[in-house]
Amino acid sequence: MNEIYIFFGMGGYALYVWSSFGFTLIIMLSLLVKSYKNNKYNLKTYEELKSYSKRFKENNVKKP
Amino acid sequence: MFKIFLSIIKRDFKLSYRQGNTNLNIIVFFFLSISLFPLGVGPENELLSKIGPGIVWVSALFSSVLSLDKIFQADYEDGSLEIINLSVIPLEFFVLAKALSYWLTTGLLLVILSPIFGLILSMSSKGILYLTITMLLGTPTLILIGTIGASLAVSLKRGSLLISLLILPLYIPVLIFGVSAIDASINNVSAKPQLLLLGSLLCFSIVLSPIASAAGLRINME
Amino acid sequence: MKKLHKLANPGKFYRLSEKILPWSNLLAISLCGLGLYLGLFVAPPDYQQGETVRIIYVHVPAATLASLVYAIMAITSAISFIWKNPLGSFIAKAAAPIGAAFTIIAIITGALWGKPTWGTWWIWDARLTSVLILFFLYLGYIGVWQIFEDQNKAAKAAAIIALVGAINLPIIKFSVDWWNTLHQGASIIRLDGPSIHSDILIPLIFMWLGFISYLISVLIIRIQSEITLQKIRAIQIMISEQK
Repeated sequence: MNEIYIFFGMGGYALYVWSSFGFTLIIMLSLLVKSYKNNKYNLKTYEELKSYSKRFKENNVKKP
Repeated sequence: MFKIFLSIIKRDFKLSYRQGNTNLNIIVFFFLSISLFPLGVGPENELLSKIGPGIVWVSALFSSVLSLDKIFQADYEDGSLEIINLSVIPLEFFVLAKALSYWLTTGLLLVILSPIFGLILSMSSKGILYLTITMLLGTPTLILIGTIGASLAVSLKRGSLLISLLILPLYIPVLIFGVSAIDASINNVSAKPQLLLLGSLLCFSIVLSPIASAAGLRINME
Repeated sequence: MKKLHKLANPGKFYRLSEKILPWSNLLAISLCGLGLYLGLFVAPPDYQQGETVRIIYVHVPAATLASLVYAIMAITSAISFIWKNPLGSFIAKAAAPIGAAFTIIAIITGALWGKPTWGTWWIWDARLTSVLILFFLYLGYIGVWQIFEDQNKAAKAAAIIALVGAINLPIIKFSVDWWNTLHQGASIIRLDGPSIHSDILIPLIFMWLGFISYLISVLIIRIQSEITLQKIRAIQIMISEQK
C-alpha cells in the first residue's frame, strides 16, 4: 500500500508529472479516435456514393 | 528589362500619388496606434522610453500587415497582372518592383517619421538614431515578407486578412532583432550583430520572397 | 527511383499502408508500454530534478516529433508542388494536425516541467518562443486548406506556406545554442555522445520509437482518409456531369 502511495506521490510533484502524462494521453488518443472515425465516415460516404452512381447509371440506361 | 522595372515603379508612384489617401491612412494608423500606447500604459517617461522601441516596431508590423493584403489586388482585378505574366519580364521582378515602390511610398515615410516617434516616446538620442537605422533595414523586409501572403490572398473575396495574418509569425525575427538592436545601443553595448542579422534577413527576403510571391500569384491566375 | 514513382501513386500507397498499419499499431502500443514501464518503475529519480525528470519521457519525444512532422510536411509539400504529385499534398495535409498536437503537448508538458524546476510556467526564451511560432504555423497551414474552395489551389497555397515556414525549423534547432537562455542545450544528439544517464536514455529511446510508430499509424489513417475524400470528390463530379 505504502509503495503505491509513494509511486503516485512522485516525490511531491504528482500534480506536474501525472498531469503532463495525462494531457499527452488525452491529446494523442483523441487525435487517433478522431482520425479513425473520420476515415470510417469517409469510407462509408464513398461506398454509398458508389452504389448510388451505379444505380444511377443503370436507371439511365433503362429509361430510353 | 531594367526599363520595364523602372516603368512599373514609375506607374505605381503615379497611382499612389493620385490616390494619395491609402498611403496617408497607413501613416495615420501608425501614428494613432503609437499615441494610444501612452494612454494605455501610463504617461511615465521612464517606462515609455524603455518600451518605446517595442511600441514603434509592433505598430510598424501591424500597419504593414493591415495595409499589405491589397498590394496586388488592383493589378489582379484590372487584368494587368495577366499581361505582365505573359510579357518578357518575369513575375519575380514584378513583385520586387511592386515591393520597392510600395516601400518608397510608405515604408520610407515611416523611416523618416520614426525620429519623431522616438521623441514622443522620450527615447534617448542614441536610441532614436538606432530606431531609424533598424527601421531602414527592417521595413523593406516586412514588406517583402508581406507580399507572400498578399500574393496568395489575391483572388480571395473573404479571408484575405487571415492569410496576411499567417505571415505574421515570419515577421517575428525582424521584430526581435530590431528591438534588441535598439536596446543594445541604449545599454551602450555594440548593436552590430543585430544590425548584421537584420541586414541578412533583408538579403534573404529580397532573394526568396519574390520567388514565393510569384508562385503564389501564378496559382491564382491558373 | 521507379519504385518510388510507383509508391507515389495513391492507390498503390493505400494498399501498402493497409499492410503497414497493424504493425505500426502493435509497435506503438508495445514500445510506449515498455518505455513507460522502464521510465516510471525501473529508472531512478534524477539526483538534481527528483521525480519531475520523468516528464522527459513525454516532453522530449513530442518536442522532437513536432519539428520532424513539420520537416515531413515541408518536404512532401515541395514534392507535390514541383512534381504535381497529389500524394505529397495528401501527406502534408494529413500530417499538419498531428504536428500541431505534438507541438501543444510539448508546450504544455514543458510548462508543467518548467514550474517545479525553473519556478515559472512560461518564459519568453528563444526555444519556447520559436516552438510557439511553430504551433501558429501549423494552425495557419490548416487554415489555408479551409480558406480556398478549390482544393488544387489550396494544395499549392498550403505548400508555399509550408515551405516559407520551414525557415523556423533551423531557428528552433539552434535557438538554444544561439541565445544562451533558460532552456537547456542539446543533451542527446551530440558529437561527444549523449550527456544523460543511460537509465533515463534507454526508456526515452523506447518512448521516442513508440511515438514514431504512433505518428506512422495516425498518419496512415489520415492519408487514407484524404485519398478516400479525393475519390468521393471524383464520384461527385461524375454524378453531376451525368445529370
